[in-house]
Amino acid sequence: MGAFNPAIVTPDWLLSKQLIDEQDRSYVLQDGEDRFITSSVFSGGRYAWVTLEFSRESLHIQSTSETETGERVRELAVGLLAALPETPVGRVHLSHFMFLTLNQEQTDRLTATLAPVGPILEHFRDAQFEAVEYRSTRERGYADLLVEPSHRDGYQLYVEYERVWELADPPGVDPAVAVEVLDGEWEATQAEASAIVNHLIHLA
Amino acid sequence: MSRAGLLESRVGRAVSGPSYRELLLDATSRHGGAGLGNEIPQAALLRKLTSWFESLPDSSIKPSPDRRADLIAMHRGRAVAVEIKTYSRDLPSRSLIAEWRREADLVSSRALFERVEEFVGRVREVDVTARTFTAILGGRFADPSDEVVGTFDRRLVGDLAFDQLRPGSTFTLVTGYQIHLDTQGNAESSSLATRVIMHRARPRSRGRRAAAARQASDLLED
Repeated sequence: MGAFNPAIVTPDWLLSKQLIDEQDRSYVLQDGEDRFITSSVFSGGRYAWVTLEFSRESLHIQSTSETETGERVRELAVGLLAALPETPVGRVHLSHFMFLTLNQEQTDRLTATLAPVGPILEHFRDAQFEAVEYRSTRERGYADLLVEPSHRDGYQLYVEYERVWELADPPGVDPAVAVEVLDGEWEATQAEASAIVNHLIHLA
Repeated sequence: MSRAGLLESRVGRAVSGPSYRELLLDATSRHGGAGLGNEIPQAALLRKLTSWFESLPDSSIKPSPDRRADLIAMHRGRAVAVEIKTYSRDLPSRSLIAEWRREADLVSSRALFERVEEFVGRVREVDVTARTFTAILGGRFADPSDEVVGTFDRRLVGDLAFDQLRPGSTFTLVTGYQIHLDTQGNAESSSLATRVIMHRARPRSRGRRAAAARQASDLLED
């Protein structure tokens, strides 16, 4: 999160900065596919291995099913922030989202452990698990964990783990500070997300 | 079933649906906002209105100077101020937003990469004549005594990246299966694939530069 100029983030600009290659550019601009949108307040591109969305307040980079490793996303983020040295950054969010396939028994066991409805049933008939959200205060920010039913066919639960670093109030700080966060905290955050989802599966 | 199996086993479902653009706009119109990850819903609605105004003849958009409006559109010489209000009960859940994104992902890509192994590498030597490079490879979080040295052909990184290789350059090497899906989401073909992602030079913040200068100064004084 920070202050960005979406209009400049075109496939040609990304190519000129060697953040994507010619094949990526051709893919996103392929006729009839509508993979790239731009306007003065928003620019979005859906590349084979990454989705990039810029608004004036945020830069959103998301992996796709074709992304080989999260490292590729981190390198792209570093490249983008390095290419925009005058862009102030206020916060860094690192989100992991996972869809879990569980049977009904496992789902019931897990949700009953996380948020038992028993204590409220007497006064709130037919209460069901809707969502549970936790927040943990961390150095320079916080971490959020959300568990809720999945709306996707074939999946029962959606788990989202997000670590947020609050670097500065507006107008923000040098984007190199965000790069230092990405370098210093990336692996520990990945490991934490992995440990959490493994624990949830264990509880189920 | 392994965790990877739990997460990936149902990816290949039938895929047909809206394009990326349609998904964003449709999500915006059906749910009074949102559709874009963690962004505020107003921003998504604003985008829709902006693109609509921009598609009109004789129209333009300008920022609201006093921030009282979310958007000021100039249409045929007249200013139209737009203020957007949404209510939290109208918002779709985060899992639904994630689902839309995942659907767009599947509709658009028709492929997935199933990672098997990942290494961190450091270039030790580049042989420009033979077009090869030698690197030390180690597993992420692995014991340094498990590192291996290998010599690789330039084709592994591509010509452009090869020309940028220097002793000391670092990279991530990942191997896995690249799986192509048919229009129904079933696996059509699968092949073992290797990718090398070169690590970029990191910009240094003012704080880190100052810390480095202090350290250098201390070393000189010692």
